[in-house]
Amino acid sequence: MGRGYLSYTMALILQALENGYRYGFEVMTVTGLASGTVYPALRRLEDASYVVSKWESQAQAQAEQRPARKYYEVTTEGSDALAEARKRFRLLEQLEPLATGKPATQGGNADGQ
Amino acid sequence: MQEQRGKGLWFGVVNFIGLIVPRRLRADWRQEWEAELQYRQALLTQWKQLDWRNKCALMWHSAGAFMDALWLQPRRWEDEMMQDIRYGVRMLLKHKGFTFIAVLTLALGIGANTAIFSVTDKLLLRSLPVKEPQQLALVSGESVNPKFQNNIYSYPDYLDYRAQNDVFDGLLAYVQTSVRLGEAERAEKLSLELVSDNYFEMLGVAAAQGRVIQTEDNRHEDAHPVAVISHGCWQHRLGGRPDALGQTLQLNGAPYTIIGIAPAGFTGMRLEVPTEVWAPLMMRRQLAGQASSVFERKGAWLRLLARLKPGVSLAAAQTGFDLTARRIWLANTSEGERKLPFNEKRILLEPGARGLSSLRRSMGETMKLLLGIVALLLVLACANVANLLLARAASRRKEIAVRLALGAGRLRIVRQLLSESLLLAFIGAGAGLLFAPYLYQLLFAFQPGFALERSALGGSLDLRVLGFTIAVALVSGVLFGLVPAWQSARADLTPALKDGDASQATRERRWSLRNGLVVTQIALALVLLVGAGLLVRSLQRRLAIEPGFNTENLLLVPLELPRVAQTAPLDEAAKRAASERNAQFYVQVAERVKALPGVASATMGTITPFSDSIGKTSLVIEGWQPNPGENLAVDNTWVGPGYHEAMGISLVAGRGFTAQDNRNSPGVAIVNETFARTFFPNQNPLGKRISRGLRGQPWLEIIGVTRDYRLHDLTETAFPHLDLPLLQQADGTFARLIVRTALEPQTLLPAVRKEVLALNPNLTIGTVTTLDDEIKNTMSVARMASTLTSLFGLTALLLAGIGLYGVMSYAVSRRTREIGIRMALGAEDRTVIRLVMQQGVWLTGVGIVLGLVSAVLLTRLLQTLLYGIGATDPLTFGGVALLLTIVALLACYLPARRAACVDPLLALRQE
Repeated sequence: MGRGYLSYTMALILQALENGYRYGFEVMTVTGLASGTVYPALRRLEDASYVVSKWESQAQAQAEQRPARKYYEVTTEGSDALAEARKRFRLLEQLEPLATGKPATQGGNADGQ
Repeated sequence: MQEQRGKGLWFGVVNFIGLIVPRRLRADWRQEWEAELQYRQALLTQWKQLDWRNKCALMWHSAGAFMDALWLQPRRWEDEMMQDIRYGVRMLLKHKGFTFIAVLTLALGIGANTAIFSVTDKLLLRSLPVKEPQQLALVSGESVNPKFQNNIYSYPDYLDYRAQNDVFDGLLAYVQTSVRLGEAERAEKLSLELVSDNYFEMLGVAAAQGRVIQTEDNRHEDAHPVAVISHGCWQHRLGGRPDALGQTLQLNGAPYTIIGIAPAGFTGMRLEVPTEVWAPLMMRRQLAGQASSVFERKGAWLRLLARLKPGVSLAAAQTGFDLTARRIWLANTSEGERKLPFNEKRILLEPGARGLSSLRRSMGETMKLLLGIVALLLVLACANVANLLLARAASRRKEIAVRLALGAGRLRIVRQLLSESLLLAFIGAGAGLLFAPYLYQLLFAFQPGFALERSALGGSLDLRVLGFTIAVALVSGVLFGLVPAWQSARADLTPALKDGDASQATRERRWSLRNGLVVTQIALALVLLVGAGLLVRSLQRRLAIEPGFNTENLLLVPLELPRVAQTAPLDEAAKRAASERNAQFYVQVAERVKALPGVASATMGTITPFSDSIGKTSLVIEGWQPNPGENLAVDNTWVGPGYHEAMGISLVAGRGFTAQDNRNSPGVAIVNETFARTFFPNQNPLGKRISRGLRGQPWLEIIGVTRDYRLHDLTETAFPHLDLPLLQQADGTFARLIVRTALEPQTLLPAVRKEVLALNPNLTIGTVTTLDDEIKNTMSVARMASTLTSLFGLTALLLAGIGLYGVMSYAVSRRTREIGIRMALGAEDRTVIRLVMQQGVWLTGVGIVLGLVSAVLLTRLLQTLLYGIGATDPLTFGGVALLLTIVALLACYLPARRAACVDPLLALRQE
């Protein structure tokens, strides 16, 4: 991927991550994109070092008897690229922030109970 | 809970798709997908929403993993490469002996190429760091003496050339000189370029700080004490201080203001001696210690560099400029002066993009030749490694056959084997880079008084050279790796799987690839050795030449009286008085030194043999009628009393100079035999009269005839030569003290130095040498060429020997069983040895014949470097062929003996 220019899809995914959605499936839900689009896009963003991936803590995963999940975070470079892309794609601003998310993403909150 | 723990169909899907994810990423990849799916499923279960619709959605999501996996495919290739390399490293470590020999061989081949390329690049390829260097042309001239280029011009000539030519976009003038920096006692020597006002502008070099020399810095003589310093000078002599601009430098005792700093990397026009300071050429009287004005047309001292107009070729510019120069010469030279030696010249333009380099002139052709030689050496090294690889491939047949049988693609096998050979090549290149700098230094070690580190040639490694080395490694890796790799991958599976070793033996052909490689190696080694042999023998021939004087224990001490910085030109009488004073002083020095213990004799001379300088005078000979238009000019030297005795130059008639041959006695001269034979055939030259062809010069009587002696080069043919007494007339402040010692010359140096400085503490003593060294120096390139080619030739011999030995050992190990049977049936040791040697002798024979034919064709390229022997010298060819035969027989004999020691019982039981 050429650095500096983001396609709309990439920008949308980056925006979703910036808004606080950290997991691939959350991003899928909030953007409505298919998993076959989101994951390759995440890999490309990671190659361009716009995002970094990390594993969640092992303790949390073990408590829920599942493997640890991988989450993504936007880097400063990613933020800069996103700010630039937002000027081109006005629609991005309409993407909802995490607090008013859909049921699927509220699950993250329900988890802790 | 049941639902949550039980993994649905989608997990199977992700697991299955995971198979095509590169193995390195697979675990992480699976975990990421599984964790997400499982988490989502758990949530849905918790919310009691895991209905069939959501199940389908999960299924759909898991199918998306396929796109993800596809996207990761390119990384598989990287993976396999890593795998290949890892495997390669393991194989190389496992076979340490093989790896060591292969790496060493390649290091020699690649390192030699790197070093030679590095020198060639710097001397012959690289351009100066200036604007559009291809348009630059050095203005040179053809002079009366073909041995010396006449390429200096006077300032008025330069101004006229610049104004009147119509082929150049610009013409600049410069001259390099050496000045004293700092106060008298602690003065350091520093190289300086006096430059015309347009120097920096025409070269397109802008100041890194401050400004460069411009028109207003070069208007009035002696009036512009300003200097631009080089980046190196700023860093090393001024410690890189930020306030350097505006500071003053003490140059030859006078203050100069620093107006600018040149960009890093720009060190003037000469490669060998980097310029540290540039000053306006109007400051010549002070900086070059010259008495005469820059505006005098008679004294030539400037070098010129032109920028061609776009679209004008070098040849066209030369023709055009020659006409201009000739017109200007005719307009400013009187009839009588036109015949003076050095005065007549034709313009010669040479490409100037690469700057000025005396080493390029002397070493350039040799470097091209060496580049060819090391290329051959590399081919030989590659053949050697290819042979080693073939031998190893034979022992790996089984491994490869198994891999093929298990379904590995042939391309994959070839790639694997190629990776191994490239790995080998790069390790070899790395080792080569370690040894290349030493070879690089060795190349320049033969150049006397040349400080490599200080010159623009210092530092052998840079990006260009590294790029070249990588390219060479790549090419050689493919060269020696491809064929063995291809052969291995092509292997016939069934016999190889059954038992590779034994079945192969029966199909050993006489003209296998391995034999072909050995023949190539022997042929190449022969060519390289013949080249080396010719150069060594030619050097021997040179060294055996009798120079015509005694070179033993002769110390040469260059002396220079201080040049007084003068602001006004001296009149004739004052000049005469000054030169007389100088001459008398020098003769006095010689007298004092002669009295020292351990000194056999001492004398003086302006130009001593092999000092790389020349004096010429035009001549009128009484009774000799020159052809119309002929410009009679001969080489001459000014020498002190007792010169011929001290030098050991024997006189065939008459006497040498004495202290009585001075200004108060009649003019005298001594000529050499060739002079006498040329101008006084069948007559007694003694008492004949000659005159230096200048107006008003007195007649000189010939009082002696010397044997011919070599003046510039041992290989020169004798030419007419004239010796004149220093005490009768000599100009200049420079002379050489010639001391014949009874002891080792260098041990007397402190005493001589002390004695000389006692007479005049302001005297500058130059680099002291011995005549033996100076003679050696004239052969520096020949010595370098013969040393290096010998080095390469012997390496080639060693490599070919190893190659042959390897092939023979391999053949013996293959035939162990057969030999065992033969011995069991009663064959004697001798028969077995003969049997094995037969093959080796056959290969050597073919190699030598091929090598001889190639050598006859190739040594013609050496012709210009040879002296005294032909390029097809039969003795060299024969000697080298004999040497190679002996080494080859030895290389065959060792495995043959081993074969003869085979225990038939063991050999037969082997299978």
